[in-house]
Amino acid sequence: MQLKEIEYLLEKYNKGKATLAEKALIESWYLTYNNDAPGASHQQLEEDQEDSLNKLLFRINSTSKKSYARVFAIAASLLVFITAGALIFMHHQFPKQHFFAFAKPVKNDIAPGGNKAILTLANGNTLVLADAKNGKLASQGGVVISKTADGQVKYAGSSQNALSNTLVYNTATTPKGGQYQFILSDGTKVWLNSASSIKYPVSFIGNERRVELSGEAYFEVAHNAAKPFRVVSNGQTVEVLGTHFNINAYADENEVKTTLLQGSVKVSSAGSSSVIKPGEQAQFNNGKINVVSGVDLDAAVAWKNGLFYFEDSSIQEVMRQFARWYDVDVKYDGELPSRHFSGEIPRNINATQMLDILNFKKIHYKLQGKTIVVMP
Amino acid sequence: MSGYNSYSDDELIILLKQGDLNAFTAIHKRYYGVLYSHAYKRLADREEVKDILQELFTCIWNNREVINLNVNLQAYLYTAVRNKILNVYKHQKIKSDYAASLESFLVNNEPTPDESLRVKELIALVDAEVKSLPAKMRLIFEMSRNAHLSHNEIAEQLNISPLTVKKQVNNSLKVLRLKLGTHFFMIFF
Repeated sequence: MQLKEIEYLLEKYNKGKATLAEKALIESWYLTYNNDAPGASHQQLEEDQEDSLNKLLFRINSTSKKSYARVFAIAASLLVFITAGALIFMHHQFPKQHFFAFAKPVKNDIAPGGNKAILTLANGNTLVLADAKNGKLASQGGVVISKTADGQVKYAGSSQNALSNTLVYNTATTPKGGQYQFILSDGTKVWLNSASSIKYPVSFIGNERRVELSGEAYFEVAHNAAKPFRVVSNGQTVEVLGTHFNINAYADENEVKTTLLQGSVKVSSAGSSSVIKPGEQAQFNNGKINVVSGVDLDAAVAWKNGLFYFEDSSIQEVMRQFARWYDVDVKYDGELPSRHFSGEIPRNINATQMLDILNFKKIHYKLQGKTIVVMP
Repeated sequence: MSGYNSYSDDELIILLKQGDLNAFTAIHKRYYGVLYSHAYKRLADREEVKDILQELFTCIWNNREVINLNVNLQAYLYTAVRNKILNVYKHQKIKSDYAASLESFLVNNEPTPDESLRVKELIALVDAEVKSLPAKMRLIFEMSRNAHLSHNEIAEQLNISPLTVKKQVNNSLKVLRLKLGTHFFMIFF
């Protein structure tokens, strides 16, 4: 029998097209083949069994929302870890080694991002916010900038105290692997995701509140019907009176996505404008605004709650978020499967732990310093 | 959790179909070891073995409501792994080894024509892997097979004294007698 014939036979078998006699041959032969080959060591078997079960339970826990109540019983411990992780994460103190019992420590691992940002004042001076002590940071045009006990940067003071009618701007920038929360002088809260930047006046003088964003931020805008709040990013303007919404305007993403959680916002660009309702997302691309309804809101703001959240995302989408959070470059080697990922992963785990979870889905990787090579 | 280890495969399947994660975990703990051991001998590639088992268990959970496991859990699991291994063979670059084996089989042996008999042989083959498992995994597997271990053997494996085992077995026998008592009378008198 030729090798080719054997290959053909196996191919037929695997497709369920083998004749009864061929099936009998393959299955009977299978029973005799390699039965005396060396087995795996006990240690390896125990490790792999535990690892396998943990990954399965983690995946079930993170993807089967419908049967949550039932799943809860057994996965309670995992849930507690995740919740605790997300909560503690917000306070940026967390003993990493306790997170996943199944992940083995890896040399040269890359730690997740944290609360890091740089604040550029009107006079060009910069402040590294992670290092700054709590209390007063600076004073700008009559407005006091301070760092609160929970590590936010807060602008306080009224525009009446401002010395002149000209706007004084500050710029907050997060590096890759950083995020930060700000409270602007009107009480609006801004969560700035990694590799993002926002420029805003220290005090909102005049008849509008206008800020400029690049990257991603979540806004909880303080209501003020007399002074609309405007966010300008990549040629798109979002106008609101007071509401909660997320804008994803990274230069390396295909489109600017504005997702509304509460209230109503108007999204406009040079040519057109659309008003979106809660649960809708405006996707701005090439000057066109496309409104999508029934958007998963948890997904849009998961980053703010300390989670990566993927829903039917391509490996490239996953890795772009990954690169921003772990401050790494990503390269691709070979043809990657066009599979899609769904699920949530806490953001406070090390890079290799995150990659191990992806590895389970048949994506492999190599760590070369600050570069991750992704392979099929 | 330990209660699930003494459930039969059929009971676990009924619970699994209802979405019981404990039942799923028990199936994993019961069969991962023998399946792994069996597959490892045939593929000698740790990652490949892990991948096919992960696929198998993921598939079982995802399809728990629709999967037809009426056949028998072992037959289902073992044939699924066999088919996955054969699929790996097809894709393997170095084919000469198994190809030669298949060829010599063709010359020297008679295939078993009866499919159910082949499945039975496969079950016996994979079950035999229990011998190569670490003690704890072996015990979980054997508990499910209602293996008749002696008190001393159980004690040794559970790392408790034979006296404790004897006491516990006697206790459960007492409970059984109480429960069965009336039936015995009905049948024998």
